[in-house]
Amino acid sequence: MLVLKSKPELMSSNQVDNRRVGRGLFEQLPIRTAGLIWLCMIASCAHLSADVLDVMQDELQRSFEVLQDERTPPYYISYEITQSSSANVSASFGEVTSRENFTSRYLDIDLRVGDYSLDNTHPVQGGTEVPGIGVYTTPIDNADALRATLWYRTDISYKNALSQFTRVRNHVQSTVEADDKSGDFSQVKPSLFQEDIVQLDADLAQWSRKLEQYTQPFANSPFVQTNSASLEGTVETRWFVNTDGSRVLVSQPYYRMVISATAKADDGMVLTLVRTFDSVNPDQLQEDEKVLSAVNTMIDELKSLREAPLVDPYTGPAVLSGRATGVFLHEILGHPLEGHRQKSDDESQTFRKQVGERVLPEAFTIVFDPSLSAFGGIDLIGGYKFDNEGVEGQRVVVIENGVLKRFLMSRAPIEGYPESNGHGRKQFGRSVVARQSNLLLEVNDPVSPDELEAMLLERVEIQDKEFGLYFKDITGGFTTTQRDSPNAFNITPVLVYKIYRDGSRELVRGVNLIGTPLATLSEVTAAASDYEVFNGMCGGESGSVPVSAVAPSVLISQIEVQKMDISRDIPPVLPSPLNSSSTQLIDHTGRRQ
Amino acid sequence: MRLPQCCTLALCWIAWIGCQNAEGDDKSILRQAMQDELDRSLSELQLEGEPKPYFISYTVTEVHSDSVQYVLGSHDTSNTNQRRTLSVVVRVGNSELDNTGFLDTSNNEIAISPGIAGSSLPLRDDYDELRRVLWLATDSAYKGAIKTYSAKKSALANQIAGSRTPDFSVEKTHVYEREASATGTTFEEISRIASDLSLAFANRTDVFASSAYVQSSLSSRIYLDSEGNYSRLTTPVCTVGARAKTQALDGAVIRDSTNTYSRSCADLPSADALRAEAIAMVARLVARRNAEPLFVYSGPVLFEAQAAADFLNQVLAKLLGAMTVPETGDPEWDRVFEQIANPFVAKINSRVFPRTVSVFNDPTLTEHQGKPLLGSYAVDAQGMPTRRTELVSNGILKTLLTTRDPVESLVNSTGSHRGYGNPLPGNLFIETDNGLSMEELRAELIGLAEENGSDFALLVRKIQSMEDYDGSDASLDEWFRTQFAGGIAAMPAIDVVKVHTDGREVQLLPMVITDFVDSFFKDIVATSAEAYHFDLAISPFGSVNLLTLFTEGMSAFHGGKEFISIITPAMLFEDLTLRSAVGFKPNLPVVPHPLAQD
Repeated sequence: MLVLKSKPELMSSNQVDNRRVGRGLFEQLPIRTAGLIWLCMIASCAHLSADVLDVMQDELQRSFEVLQDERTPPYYISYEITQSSSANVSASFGEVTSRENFTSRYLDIDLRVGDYSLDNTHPVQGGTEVPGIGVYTTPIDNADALRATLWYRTDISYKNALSQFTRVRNHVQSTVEADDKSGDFSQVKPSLFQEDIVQLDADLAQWSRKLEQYTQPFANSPFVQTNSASLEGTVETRWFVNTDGSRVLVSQPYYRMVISATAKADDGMVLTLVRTFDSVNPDQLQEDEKVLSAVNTMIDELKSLREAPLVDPYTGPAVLSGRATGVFLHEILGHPLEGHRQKSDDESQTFRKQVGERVLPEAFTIVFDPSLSAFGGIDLIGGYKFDNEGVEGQRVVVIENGVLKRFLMSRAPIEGYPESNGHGRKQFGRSVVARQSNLLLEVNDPVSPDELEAMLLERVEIQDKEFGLYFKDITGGFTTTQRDSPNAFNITPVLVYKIYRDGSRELVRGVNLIGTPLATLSEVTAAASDYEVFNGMCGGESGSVPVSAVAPSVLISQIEVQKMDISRDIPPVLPSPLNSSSTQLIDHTGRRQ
Repeated sequence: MRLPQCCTLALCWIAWIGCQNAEGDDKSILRQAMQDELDRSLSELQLEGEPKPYFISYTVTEVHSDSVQYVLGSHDTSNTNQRRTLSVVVRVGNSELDNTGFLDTSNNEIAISPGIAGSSLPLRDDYDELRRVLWLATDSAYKGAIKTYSAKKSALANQIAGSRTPDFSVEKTHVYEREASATGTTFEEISRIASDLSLAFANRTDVFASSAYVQSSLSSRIYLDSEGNYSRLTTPVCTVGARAKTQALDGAVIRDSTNTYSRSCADLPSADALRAEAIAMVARLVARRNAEPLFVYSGPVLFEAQAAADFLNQVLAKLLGAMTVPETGDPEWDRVFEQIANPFVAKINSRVFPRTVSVFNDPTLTEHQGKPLLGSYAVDAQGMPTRRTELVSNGILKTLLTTRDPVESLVNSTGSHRGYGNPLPGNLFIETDNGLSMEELRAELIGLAEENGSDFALLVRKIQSMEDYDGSDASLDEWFRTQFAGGIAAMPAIDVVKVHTDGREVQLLPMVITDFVDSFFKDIVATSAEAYHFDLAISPFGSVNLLTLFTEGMSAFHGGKEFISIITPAMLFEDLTLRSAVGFKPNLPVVPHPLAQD
């Protein structure tokens, strides 16, 4: 008897599923219940959530008061417990490759000695030490266990803070006075907020079936060399208290599906396409028609990319799609506008003296708004109610009508900007710095996408170019902002088209979008009304945080692209075994027929 | 602390009942896919102008692991995961000269583990998908192999020809299968043990941090190679442990732990016994808060059996394995690797222990005096059967444990390829003649001190377990750096006492054994008559070093937890150097413990 597993929903009538499927070690494990472990852990603590804040506040106050008798007492302490509960399924070519559940509670302590003007977190040029904060797991289900952990970690943090403060004072005494004379910490009103703890909705059995379904089409596409998909759900619950009197409990779910595939061009270039789906509701990631449509588009695009010509280094006009614009602005504008970069002597402080100056066309306004939860029906993952310093996330207009107005601020002040605007963010275990949230590009006089393309072609003609470029999709990018390296950005597109003077398009490959922020921003000319959303994880000094960017297509009069690094590995020596004559059917015992 | 009711239902699934592979016969779909792709690759995989593979092996590792940590009865972290990984080895050339044992440094960068490729595999035995993954990984390994083979031949062509040790041993074909039986113990029950265990530290305001953990895993290793070697082993492991940390009254951070291992969770000691052990451990730890510092000591040292086993696991076990030192064709790199080569390779047929000591490794034994030996195994990671190996006879080093990668005159495998790529023992027996009682040993220790004109000598009761190192403790970084660079290093001795000549004992703060030399074990002057059995985990932090990383790559980390069983007497060394392991001494906490009454 043949062991066959038919998947009629994935196959046309003339396809035969001749995949032989047996039962491996894992197949007999009741995977649905695996997720329950996590749910139970949450359930066990849910009724304690209010107590957790009480215990934290009691212990915080006790330590703070006792330490006031010390010669160098703390002037500020905060506790943040982050419960990260996650479940993950990975699959490839129609088969699940791993399943995992993970629950952990981390404790971060920010303990400061000195005063608001100078404390142990003061930046020391060239210093690499993480100021006053460490990451430790912590129990929360039992008040005594939590108290004991808070007590011990507070003691360690206090001693670390004393050591750091000694180094800071030595540094201040031995160096010339800094240009920016703002202090090290700003005062804010206490926040009081508490919401219900969200439970992770992770049905690993269903996720497994879905990922098998979504990755199956890649198995039917022989030119696809690698494929992976993961569906991960995380609920991050944060309990925060500080000596200012803040008490905050927030709980935020986040589900993400990432599907990637690679193919290899004949010249050895590895072509990678990635599609991400983000939502606060896992069901929205499992809309079959939508996901399978995206998968089929990926396959078609990979096929086209294999045959696409390489493009040479180029300068000239280009249109960036909404998603590409989002990443572009996140990299070249968002990062340089993070407050701490205006102060650190290690940073190039690109925009420090540009406040009040026009940096974009008059019609452009750029806002960071963590209160936005969705745009156009798409969830935004860069939103939050309170940042990691217990400050409510605020809508910040950084550029208004093209003019730079302000920066993204944590509680680390900079001269002229003494207050936080709720953008102090971090991953657990890291120190807070100012980070981006939901970036939104607002345009007063948008044109239609067709008009934008026409404007592109006008510039092609004016600049006497053979073609302009259209960046349809990108995977990500990076920006260097420090003084010891060129202040440049590098954005990695995956779908780039040449648009010729006659309007015809040609898919090309093999280039990265590069440049420097001020020069490139000065070339931004116009925008359309075709908004798109980019959700992603942003890495920075304070770790990885979720961010979003919402933007329409923009026209840039002059961009530069450089050749990307490529592999010269040849395609596989042997053909796929699935196409090989040596593949024979086997029966249920595994014997060849 | 009672677990919430829902956990009772949810955690039951971890029990290993029914976790065996239903396709456990020797013609499983997985095996068939491995065999088919192996056959095709062996006969057809060849780039024009390049050699075909002469050897291919596939190792599939399936791991299902679960872990939970509790602090004072409160859940802290948990993780469950299932994964299946593939490691492919391709050799081109022939067994005399192939692509292995060589690191190409010609472009100022080293190709890690050339000829080895890895990938994740589907959890389910889907023949087509298994073939696809095997195909691509084999292709990748083959391309790495031919590139390295070419570089190796070029490098050797520029050297004066001499007799070379073959690159691969010729062995008889071996087929082996073993499926583990279920334990019948639920994860919930074990979690409750961890929770209870963590409460052993409750109300101890003199313990600053503590935790208890449970780890359980079921791992299978399926090995197939082009010579017909095939093995399939399924191995359950159950671990329960407790850790505690405090500060001595002079500020030194001190810690201790217990780790209990079992193949079957049902065979774990009772919850009461585990708790009693944790309570005893913490009592000893707290007693050490009054310990004295001793900055440096040189003289006689008596290792009680537990400390002797820890020490042998951390120091001797690796010295007993013959590890291939790669050629590079670059004199500078060659010198680097020569420095981290095992000094015992040059000591064969030389005295490394006193005449009274013999050492053998016999992983085929499954129990010792009625107690299971966790270091027992039948076949190694290269599909080779293991066997009894006489390593030291009357103090003379006779041979070393080997893999199929020959080292000088050691050209055949002893079936010892295990433990993160190292040749390591399984069940290591230290046998001695003329053993003494513990009282006699102690008298010998005092006698040696008096001979030296000292009024005390040192007694080591416990050395910190390598399992306690997870990279987060900065005070152990030097140990890790030393061992990673191929040096000899032991973790700090955490329970050390001064034994005065008048019989008084004074507890000391942790010390670390230093100044290792090749002739180190020759300084054993006496041992106890009685030998004791300890099961110890092989730690990746204590096993993976530069050599294994370069030669095995990340595949060195695949697989489940493995053990060494050491049967050893207590040992008296005539002359060892120990230095204080206490560095930075933070002040004692300013704020009183929150659970302290006053």
